Amino acid sequence: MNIGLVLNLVGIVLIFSSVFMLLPLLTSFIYKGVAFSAIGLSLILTSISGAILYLLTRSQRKVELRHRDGFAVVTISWLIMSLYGSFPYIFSGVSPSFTDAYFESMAGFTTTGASVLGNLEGLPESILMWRSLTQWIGGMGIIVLSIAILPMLGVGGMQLFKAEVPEIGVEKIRPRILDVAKSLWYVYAGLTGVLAVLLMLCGMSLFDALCHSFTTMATGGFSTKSASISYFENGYIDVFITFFMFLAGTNFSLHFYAIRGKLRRFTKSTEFKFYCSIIIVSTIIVSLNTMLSHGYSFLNAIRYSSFQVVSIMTTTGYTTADYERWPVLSQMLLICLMFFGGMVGSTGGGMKQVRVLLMFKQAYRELYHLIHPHAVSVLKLDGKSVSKETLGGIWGFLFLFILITVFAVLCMTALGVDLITSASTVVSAMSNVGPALGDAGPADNYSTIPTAGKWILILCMLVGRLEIYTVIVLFIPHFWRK
Amino acid sequence: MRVIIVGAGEVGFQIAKFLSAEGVDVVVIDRSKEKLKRLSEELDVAVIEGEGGSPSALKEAGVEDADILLAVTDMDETNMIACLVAKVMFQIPRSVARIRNLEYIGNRALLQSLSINPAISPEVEAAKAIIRLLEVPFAADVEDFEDGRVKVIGFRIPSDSEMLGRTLKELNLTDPKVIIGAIKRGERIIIPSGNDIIRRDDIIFLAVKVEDIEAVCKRIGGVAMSVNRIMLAGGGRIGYYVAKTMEARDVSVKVIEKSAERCKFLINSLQKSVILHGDGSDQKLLEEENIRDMDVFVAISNNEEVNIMSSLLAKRLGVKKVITIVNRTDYLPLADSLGIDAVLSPRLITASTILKYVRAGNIISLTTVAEGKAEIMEAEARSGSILIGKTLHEVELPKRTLIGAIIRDKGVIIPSGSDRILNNDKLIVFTLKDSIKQVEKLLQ
Repeated sequence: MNIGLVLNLVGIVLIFSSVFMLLPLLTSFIYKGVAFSAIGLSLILTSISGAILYLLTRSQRKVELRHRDGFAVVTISWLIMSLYGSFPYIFSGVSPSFTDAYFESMAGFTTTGASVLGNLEGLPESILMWRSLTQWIGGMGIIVLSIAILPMLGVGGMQLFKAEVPEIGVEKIRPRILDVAKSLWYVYAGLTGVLAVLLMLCGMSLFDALCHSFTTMATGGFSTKSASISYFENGYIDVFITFFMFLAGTNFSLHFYAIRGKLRRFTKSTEFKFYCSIIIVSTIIVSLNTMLSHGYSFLNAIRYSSFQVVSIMTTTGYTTADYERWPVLSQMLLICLMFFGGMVGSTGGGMKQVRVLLMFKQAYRELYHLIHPHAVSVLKLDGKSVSKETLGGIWGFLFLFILITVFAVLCMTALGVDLITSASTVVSAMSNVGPALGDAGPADNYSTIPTAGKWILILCMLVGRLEIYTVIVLFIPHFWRK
Repeated sequence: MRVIIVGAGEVGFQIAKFLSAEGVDVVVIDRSKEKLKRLSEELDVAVIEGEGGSPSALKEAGVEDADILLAVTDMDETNMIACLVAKVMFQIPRSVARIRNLEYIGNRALLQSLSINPAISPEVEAAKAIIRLLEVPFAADVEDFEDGRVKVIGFRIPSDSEMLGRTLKELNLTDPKVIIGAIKRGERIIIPSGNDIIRRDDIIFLAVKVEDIEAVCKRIGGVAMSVNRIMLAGGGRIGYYVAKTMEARDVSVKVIEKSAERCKFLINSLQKSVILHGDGSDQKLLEEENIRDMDVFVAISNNEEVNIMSSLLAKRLGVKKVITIVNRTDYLPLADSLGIDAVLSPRLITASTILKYVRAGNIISLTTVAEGKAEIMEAEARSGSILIGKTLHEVELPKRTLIGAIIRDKGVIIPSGSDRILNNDKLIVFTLKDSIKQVEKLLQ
């Protein structure tokens, strides 16, 4: 591995993140300068560290970035970016404990939205803005952003892109990676802007509208209110946010084509149809379940269930209802949906719809072969055959995902956390959802988790966001061998 | 600019590599998943799996917005169909096709109806490159500009050259005046300034007027020999084309060919050449045929390993110059270090020839030398360019860029600092890949 080059790129990422700190700084300036110096100091530290890293390793720029270097750049960038992203929490005194601050920062960048902070209404606006912004940066990915802005990355940019955005099913919507990254960010920023305007029309303040648009489009789930979206008690807000969470969980290349007038891409995509059906079926089940047991009216049942189903499955993690009071069936269903996650190429986490879909198809094919032992069959997606390597990759992914989840749950229980809380927080962290069940349910937060448990969850969030391989490959001895 | 390349073989790969590095949108179509995988892993291009001539694949590649289609599979028919479909169904403005069959290439009406402009045959291009080298036997590389009136020639500095160890400033190459535009040293390429020193085994690239070539050769320390006798090891399409051209120029040609069948064809189609049935790496045969009296030995069989071996053998047996054909670009640097005078790769030549036609705006042609590391650009300074009216001294060129020659009306000027650039001058510019865009901007 070429450490110099890796650090050089990490330096660039840090410089980018420091630029983003200008927005909370501005917020602080508007809101009477609360936490101004804390954010200012973080900004200076981040930009200087980034600049030093960049300048010290500038001579390495000429070396070409290799495939495996890409993994290191992305993983290290995310770790370091979260470190610097935790400074505003520490310096402002919002979270004096380093573990808590790092947890909050990682939960932000990975768009998990798990929080250790209570009473959000008492926090400075600037800190809330930074929380939401970290999710927005992490949603489409800071590496993708760097590629969009820096033409000099060239072929190396492609290796990075692949490490941050897994290849499976993501088509190259434009021939050059720079243009792909740009298009994705345009669509992302555009949708965020539209949502912000809509939320303001529903009566939200500019500040709340911005923060919630950031975290909706990123499928992050940080809110500015402790009661999350239910604070607003506004049906229109619920509907708009449901719809935009749904959009954020959709493959962004479909949006890209839609903007170019190719709406038929939506109906052609099997994954999109699968994604919609799961949402519809789950909403119906949860609605019926809550209507019967909770006595919700029909409209309310639809409103709360669809919101919660979409929020959990796209791994956003907003809440409009305390689903822990819902019947167990609904709770279990929501936990299952966490695994599914968003579509590939979306900002959602989880295992991704297409992987689940292909596994279904594969299982069906196995059964088919039992009935017709001599049958020749090929697994197709959108009319194209899926290669054995792709399927193998998915099997490996699935296995690692479950292995890591089980192992992390084991570790959590070893720390004395109860089973429901352990299992649900780990799944929630791996899938970048946010709220879980038990002690970390929608009405509580993660502050009661022991310190060691928080670090386990931090790792789960990172591994989940970068879709496992990118991080785990660094732990394979072959990676480091010359 | 969007370019669609049909065929992800070596030629397609080289073209895609070059264009994508330049920032062009490149989409490559091929039916082999494996070839596409290599492309998408190493290059920043989009790939589409499909038949080159399939309308749906072309459509998916965005042929409607494409500026040019390059059909470079090794099947003539696939290439022609791709061009036809792109023209008839999608009205593509221009197509370039790689066509082997000389019967097709010769038929202008056919090509025009497919809007193929031009058709490029790898064998003919390789043969032409060999012939250019035979015209300037001392050179390691020759590229023609303006129908051959200006040549950019790469010379390998001989170990007894008086230029060795001196800076370009000290050398003061004025009689005849030449400008050293690039120096290839091992794997590196240098666009020199006055303070660079010439070393042994450097290959220097100069823009030379055709009438000055002999004098320049002498100046560098080479023998300005003329080619009277050549031996070709390999009588395939390339060999046949070279033999035919050279015998028409009264050069005595001997062709060694392994296949008896092919020998029959050669003896029937060539007039004066001596056709020998045998193996180009057969020492006895070479000695028998007086290899040491040959001026140039060209190894052009289909087997590149055999070509390299027979070239080494011929060199040891005393031939003055050897030219070797290799197909795999990986071998190019290797053959260089073995002491073979000139190495050519037909695929690289084809790629480079096709690239000449993928030009928009002021750039008339762009040639790469030294395995694609240095660029030689022929570009027109049109009215409105900030260069016009300035002397070369005043002009601020991008880093590592040199103007090697100015073509004005029909004359060729090897410029000095006090020469001015006028409207409609054509400039021969030596540069590196990164600076092409900047140069283009200066000329607009």
